[in-house]
Amino acid sequence: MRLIRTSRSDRSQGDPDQELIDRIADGDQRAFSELMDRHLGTIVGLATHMLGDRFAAEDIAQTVFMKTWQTLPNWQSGQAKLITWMRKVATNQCLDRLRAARLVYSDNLPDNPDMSPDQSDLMIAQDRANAVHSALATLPDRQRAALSLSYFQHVSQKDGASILNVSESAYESLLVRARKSLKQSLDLTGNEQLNAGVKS
Amino acid sequence: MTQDDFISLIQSYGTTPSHWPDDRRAAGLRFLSDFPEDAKLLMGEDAALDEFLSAGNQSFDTELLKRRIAKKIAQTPQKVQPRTSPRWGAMAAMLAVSFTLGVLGGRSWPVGTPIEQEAVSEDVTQYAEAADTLGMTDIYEWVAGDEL
Repeated sequence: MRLIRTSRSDRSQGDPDQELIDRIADGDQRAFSELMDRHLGTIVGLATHMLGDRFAAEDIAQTVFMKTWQTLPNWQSGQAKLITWMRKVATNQCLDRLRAARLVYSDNLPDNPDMSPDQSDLMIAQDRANAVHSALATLPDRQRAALSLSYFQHVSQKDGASILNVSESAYESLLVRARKSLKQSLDLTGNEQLNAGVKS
Repeated sequence: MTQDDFISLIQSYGTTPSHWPDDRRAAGLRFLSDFPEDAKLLMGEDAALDEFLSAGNQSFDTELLKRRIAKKIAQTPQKVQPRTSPRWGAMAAMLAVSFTLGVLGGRSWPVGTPIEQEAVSEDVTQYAEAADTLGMTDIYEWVAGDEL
């Protein structure tokens, strides 16, 4: 049924989803439901941070899970973990969607978030999560993807680099630039003198 | 870990040790405990950013979406690839092609190279022409001489 099936002993050491993978590969829809219980929130969260739009994120998540359902019968165990592969598919789908949206709405890029004290208090009181999404939306796509993976998904440096198809040092550089941009746009860079004081 | 290493760590991954790479976490934690005041100052703006970002850590209610996807997969057959592996398939195809070519070649191609074939047909023609010039007497004499 599958192209390559590794032995049970090989499989048990790697992917925590391996048992579900085997059952889904045999067409078990109940196992697929369990997989959704485990990872649907993760994928929706990743796509929401990438796109800043819950409905679009659900669309992406649906696409990712449909692809997973169709791919698992031919899944080659022993390569990437399933959740890493799913995050990669989700990230690529989001990047494609952002690229397409920019082609259509190139004059309508999101504004930088207004983080003056009054507005900040208001936003924190009303919807702090939306403020985060607005701030993330100001970042270049790949920086946003790296930050979403690292900060919100707790993905390791190695997996993050693999998802974005870059070296680990390039991934770290994306993170540094993303955080630096956010600190500047949120006006959080007032501690530079303090840092210099520590160094001297 | 030097101070510069620590700065590089928090500028990439923030101030939450669980976000730090496994191979640098222990050293980062040691820096935190060895130089708590310096570390606190160094982490200032990144701690503020982490605090801001933490508001984006939401849990998502996915029950409706889950039902929608479950309904869809119930109507979607899985894409199962053929059981044979590509290597066996390729080998089988090569054997079949070789066999077919061998059979066809054996039937339609004459034995020997084209040059040999031409030489043979030239010899046959010469013998036939020579036999035509012989009379019956010559043949009797030739046969009688052979018997003697």
